[in-house]
Amino acid sequence: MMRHVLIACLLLSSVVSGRVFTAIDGRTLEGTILSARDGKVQMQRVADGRKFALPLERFSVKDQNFLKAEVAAGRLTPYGYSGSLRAVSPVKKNPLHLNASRRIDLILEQYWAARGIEPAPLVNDEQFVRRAYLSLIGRIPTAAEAIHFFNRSEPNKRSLLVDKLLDSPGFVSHFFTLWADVLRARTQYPHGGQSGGVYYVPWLKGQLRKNVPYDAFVRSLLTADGYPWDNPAASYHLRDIGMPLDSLAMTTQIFLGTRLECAQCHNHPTDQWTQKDFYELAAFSHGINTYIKGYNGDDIAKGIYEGFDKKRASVMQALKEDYHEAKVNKSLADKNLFMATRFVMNPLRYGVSHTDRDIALPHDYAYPDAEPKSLVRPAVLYGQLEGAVPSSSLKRVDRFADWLISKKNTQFTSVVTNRLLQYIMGQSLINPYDRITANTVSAIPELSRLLNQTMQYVDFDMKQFIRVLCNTRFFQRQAVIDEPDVPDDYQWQGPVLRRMSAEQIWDSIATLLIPDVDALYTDVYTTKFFNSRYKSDQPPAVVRLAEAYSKNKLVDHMHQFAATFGPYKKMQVRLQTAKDDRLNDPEKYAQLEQQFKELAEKYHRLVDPVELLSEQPGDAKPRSGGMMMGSMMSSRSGNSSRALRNIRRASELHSPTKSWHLLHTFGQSDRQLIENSSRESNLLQALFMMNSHETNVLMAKSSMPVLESDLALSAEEKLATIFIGFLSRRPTTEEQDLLIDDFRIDPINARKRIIWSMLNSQQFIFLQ
Amino acid sequence: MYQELHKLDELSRRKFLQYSAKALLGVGLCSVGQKPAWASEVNPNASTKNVIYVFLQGGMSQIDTFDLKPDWAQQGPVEAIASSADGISVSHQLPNLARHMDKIAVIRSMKSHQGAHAPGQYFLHTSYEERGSIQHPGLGAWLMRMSGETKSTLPGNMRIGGSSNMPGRAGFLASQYNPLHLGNSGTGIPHSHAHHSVDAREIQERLELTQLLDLSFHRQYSAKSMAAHAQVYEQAVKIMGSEDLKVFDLGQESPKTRALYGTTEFGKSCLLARRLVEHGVRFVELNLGGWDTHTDNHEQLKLLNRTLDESIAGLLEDLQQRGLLDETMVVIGTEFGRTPDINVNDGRDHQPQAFTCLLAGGGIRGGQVYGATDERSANVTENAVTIPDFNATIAHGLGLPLDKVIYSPSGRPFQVADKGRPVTALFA
Repeated sequence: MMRHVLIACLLLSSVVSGRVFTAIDGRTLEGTILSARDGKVQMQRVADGRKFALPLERFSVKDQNFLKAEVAAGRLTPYGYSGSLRAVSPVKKNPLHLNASRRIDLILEQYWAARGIEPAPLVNDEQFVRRAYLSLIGRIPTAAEAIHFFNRSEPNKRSLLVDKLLDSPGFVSHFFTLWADVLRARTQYPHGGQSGGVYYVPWLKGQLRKNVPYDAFVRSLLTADGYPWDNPAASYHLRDIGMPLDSLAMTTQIFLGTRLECAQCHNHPTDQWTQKDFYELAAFSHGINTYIKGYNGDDIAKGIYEGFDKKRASVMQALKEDYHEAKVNKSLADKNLFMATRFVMNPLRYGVSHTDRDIALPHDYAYPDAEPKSLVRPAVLYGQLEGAVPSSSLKRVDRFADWLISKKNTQFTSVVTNRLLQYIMGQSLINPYDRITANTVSAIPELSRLLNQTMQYVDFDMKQFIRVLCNTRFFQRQAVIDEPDVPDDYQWQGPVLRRMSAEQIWDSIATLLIPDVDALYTDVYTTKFFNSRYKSDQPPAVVRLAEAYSKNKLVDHMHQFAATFGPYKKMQVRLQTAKDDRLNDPEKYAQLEQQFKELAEKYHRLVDPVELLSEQPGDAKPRSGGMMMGSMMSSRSGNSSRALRNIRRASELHSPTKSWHLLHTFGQSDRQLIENSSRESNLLQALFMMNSHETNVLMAKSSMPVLESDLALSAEEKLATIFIGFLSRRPTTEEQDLLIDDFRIDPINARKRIIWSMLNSQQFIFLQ
Repeated sequence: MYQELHKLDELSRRKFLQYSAKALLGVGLCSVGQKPAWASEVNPNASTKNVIYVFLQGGMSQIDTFDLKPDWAQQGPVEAIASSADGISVSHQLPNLARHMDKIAVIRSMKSHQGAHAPGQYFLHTSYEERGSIQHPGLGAWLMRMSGETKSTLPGNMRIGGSSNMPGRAGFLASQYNPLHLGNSGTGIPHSHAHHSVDAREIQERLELTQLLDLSFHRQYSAKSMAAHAQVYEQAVKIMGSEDLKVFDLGQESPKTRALYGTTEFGKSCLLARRLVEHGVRFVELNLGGWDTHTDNHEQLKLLNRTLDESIAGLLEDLQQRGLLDETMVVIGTEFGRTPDINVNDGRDHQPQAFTCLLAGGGIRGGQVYGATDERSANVTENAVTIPDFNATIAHGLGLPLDKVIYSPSGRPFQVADKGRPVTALFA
């Protein structure tokens, strides 16, 4: 019996919450699509489970476009609907969550009472829906989503909305940004390749989609080994290739909020840690090797063979012998073979393996408690290590991870609770939470204790923890200003007023530009590093070559490649030098360029044989919704359709984007330093919001709120829908009075002006 | 309030809206361009008006460029060549700069205590160590804050290339002093033109409507960050359609001038920097990255040096021909130097305790070497110049008051180059 109940619960909780549709009469409907036939859509309403069919023309123009596109993409047929949203592991719902939320509010009430502070008032539904969407899924709600929420009558509708959002794909997208910033996950040069970022980023999203508990997640990062295409978590250590000490300092900053980088070179000037403490901690992970050193080729070959790739050993052995011979012989052809092999093998140089390397104090160690260059035994900063320190590097790292993620290590818990508190509310009790020293105190110690207890009670399930935060009355209070420069002006009266993050701005604009942006995924990233191409869905060419080719074929291939390699490199230099006088002889330069192009093509085919590429099962275009957009947009005017085809949420673009992108302009982290994003205003942002192509598209009749308002009967309703689409609120009576005449007389120009003004308003860009 | 608004005629309504905007946002109250009201430790002979600051990101190898040690076993394949300045030799990979050494002061005794990139770059840009509790301003922002008058609508403080997160932005100073960051030399200021169908009047209408929509928001929130946000809009409106935007069209230069700078992106940035200072921009920072030569140091330096050599030589020559060199200081800065020992990867590692930076123009006496290092270029042996000293020297050239204390909003005192002392011997 118990079991049956359990199964029923599981089934219930795995029901994907539906999409919000708007009917022509302006009513909203949250439902799951079942199938479509003869211009009718079979749907099931989420609220009561009722099934019914609706003619296509009963939907808003935006929804009609969406449904047609789903049909065109082959997802919506008479027999069913395969959906375009990915299932997200649903949040566990425990009645105790709401108790914890109440206790948080209670502590805050006592805090305010003791100080004679008035808390900020509660927000209305309009402010709440915007805050909930932006805080939890990183974008503004569509007009349909907002209206649907306004019209709900359940007393706990705010809580229900939180649960719905926690289980939606947008949650993963928004949460990814936080962790990509923390972990400095980059998909572009050089880290996309060298550090395996193109494998890491899709994996990271997967971990968040599955809602892997935080402690297990951290453990998988710290203990990962191998190549990133086999084990993407290995990218964590590969992010700081060849810098084990820096890597450790990053680890303690990210997960323990302890800054040790100063103690790398000398005793910490403002904290308790000594240089020896640092080295003792570093001794745990110092056996980790991230790359095969050496400029001299056969060391590399040997290193790869012995250290990383025993699986493909026999084939690589042939390559290694051939390569070694070439190096000894030293003819020009051999030299090219030697270089070419080094190039092709390069990806195999970067992976995580374990060595028996010990760590010694530096030669200039200046303190009396130990001799310079003396060996250091592993020891933890505080607390106890379970059992003796093992001798193998693998086990040492394992033990280190045990210590770090242990519930006894309160700093581990404290950092993540503060990080999530900041993520949702804009402020942390320990600030900054990544620079905790012996003197650090919490702004409200009792609240810190409760939050840490909660985090441990839910066993580091971050989603449950966020559920607790978002069910507080505190989350429903109006945002208040916290001037960073004025001490003590902020007293936790409410969440902090912030400008939206770059990602929130971009994802909100994307929501206004195209329908259902949450359903567009990028699974495959591609980048290049040191002549090799890295693609998320396949290992680099050398691995595929070693697997697909016999020994002899591989050696043959390398000789062919080497024969192209020499001329190619020469031509590269020739072209570079010719650049100087290309103004004098442009024809000659063009000729040279053409020759180079041909050679390059041959070269690249050999570096990464095409026939091997096409054999890969995952090589088809990513299911990114590109098709859908293409077919839908084809009915629109040319220019905007081209621009819109590549619109994705920030999480589905390169990490980070190039410098011309709006995300960059609005302060997206470069992911070079931990959590390095910025929310400062600048001139370029204002110019973008006023004059960009995106702004012009948003003002046009194809922008989503305008499409949603298309079938509204009165000018007032149209105006209200557009307001809700952009600002998540209805116009005030005064605003309506002021605008409605223009809107009636000259609807197009009035609409443009109103939309422009809403986009450029502060309430659009500040998260209240 | 709105009902009353309705009764007003068009003109009065406009005035009313403008009034409310000003009252609510502090718009129109900004004080950019005011003369400094103090005169204490200010260089009376300051002749630098503009700075072109070239940041060599990653740590330039001094021993392979401007502080050669031919007798040192691990000098590598670098030959010393004579230059236009008596007694100064440079790497054979810098033949063009060699011709200009008479304009350049070489500081061979630079010293920092930050050996990692991020803290090193922070220190170089701000003269202060990185702190969790405060962000320090860079020289460009200090200049804007202390004497930021410009002749144009262009922002006085700009950056070309590199990351937009590079330290040395406005820090605790108002965000209006932030450098405007351009990704590269070609983009110009993106989106600086309104849609062709929109005229100035329509823009004004729209801005007023924006204020109106925000009225209730502003009643509730009137923080500094809001005012800053409003101010960037003010600046943006000014720049739209301004004649000054032509500065970004490098095509206006003759092929001969363009050729001076070479064909690299960095060369184009140098050319743009010259055009910008010509048009009234006071501080331009350029970024040339890739100097972190832990592997194949000498191989990598071939291209790095070629780019640096060609473009900076072009810049100096062009500035001189146009009579701009006397008022424009060209700074070549880097966060630290590199070790004399070559590592297992044929590279050189970080060395903060001895490295080289260069200054030229803006009153600097060229053709001189300041300070010296030991036989390996591993330690400073004479006239050490710290990062704050180096920045104080630039600020001295600009006539900024070095001892003027500016308080952060949290009440902490700061000075333009911390407690650095200017190296006056570098000036003519």
